[in-house]
Amino acid sequence: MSDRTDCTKVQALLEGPPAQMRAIPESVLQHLKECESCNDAVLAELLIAEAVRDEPLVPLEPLFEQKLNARLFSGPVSYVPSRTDRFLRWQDRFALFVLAVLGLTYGPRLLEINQPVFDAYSQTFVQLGRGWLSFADSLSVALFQSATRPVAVLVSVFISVVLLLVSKNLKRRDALSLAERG
Amino acid sequence: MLDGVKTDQSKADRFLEAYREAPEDAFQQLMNEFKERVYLFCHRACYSPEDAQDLAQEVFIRAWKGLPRFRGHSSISTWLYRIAWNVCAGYLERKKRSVELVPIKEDCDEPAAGDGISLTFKDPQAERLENAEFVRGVLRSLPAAQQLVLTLYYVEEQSYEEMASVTGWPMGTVKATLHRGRNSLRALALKVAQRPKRGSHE
Repeated sequence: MSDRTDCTKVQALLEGPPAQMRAIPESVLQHLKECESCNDAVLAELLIAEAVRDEPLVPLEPLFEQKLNARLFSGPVSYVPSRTDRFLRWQDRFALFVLAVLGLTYGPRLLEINQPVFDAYSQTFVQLGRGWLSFADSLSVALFQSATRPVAVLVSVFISVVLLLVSKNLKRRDALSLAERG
Repeated sequence: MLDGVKTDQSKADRFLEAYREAPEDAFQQLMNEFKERVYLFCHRACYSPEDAQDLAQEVFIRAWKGLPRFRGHSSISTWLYRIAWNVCAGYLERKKRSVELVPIKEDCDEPAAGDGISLTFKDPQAERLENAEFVRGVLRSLPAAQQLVLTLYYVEEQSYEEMASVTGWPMGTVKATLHRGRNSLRALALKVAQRPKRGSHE
């Protein structure tokens, strides 16, 4: 007949940390041979531990680490320090300036806005007395006179876009090389 | 598998020392030690190998970003599982499942005694695996929070304090969740444990 004290020990063992189950005392083992309910309870606990621990999993894919390392240590451009992350670099600014000048110059013509409107519009700039705007106005007049066909405008726009793309590409290349250097 | 699972304070200190000297190497070691277990933990939240691997990657990425703020006040394991818990909780929220403590249904889907149990002789090893699979079937039917807490308890062998730290729950909630989970599994496991004896009598 099993001893109630030993049953209490088994109960304590079951309620304790799982590590205790790896080193069951000899006295408790002896008790388990005699007490069927305690034996079942311990077997059940071992079974639960095994079921939770030894879940048959699809193995981690071999590239798990490489992928993770790539994401961590040579990741996308957004991880690169802000030194190269300036919003606009000089190439961008230059290209945008050219685009703006072209827009001011040829926009009205391409949109078939009549000359008086364009004049009024440029006069307004002058009247505003803003130096840079009057400079743009003078420049636009010069460009307006030198260009003969809208094709020229398209070519200019194309050059500006290429400049922008080249600038972006340079920026990306700088960022990647910086990331590689760590 | 469980050797060296427990990470203590001195281990956290050693890790921090190694991290200060060579961050990437230290992190690599951390990843090598925990990747399988973090993967298992994440798998319990989604039961999809692909999603689990993505979640595990997310855990390590967050860990890497958060390492400069790790002061070693808790063990590395607790800290890492805290991140894993949050990642899994986010995943489950996205999946419209809740990791809140959901009371387990009293009439949990437990197979009736003898359900699917063959009384013919079997290789003991095969039978053991089969029994574990029965229990795992019930495990999968438990609420996600209970599965994750059971994983922390049996795989990581974490204490109640550590589990409370990982989950952010009060200790009482952790104990209740674990108790419910274990009781649900125990009901079936006891039936399975008693099965061979009944088989031998019949």
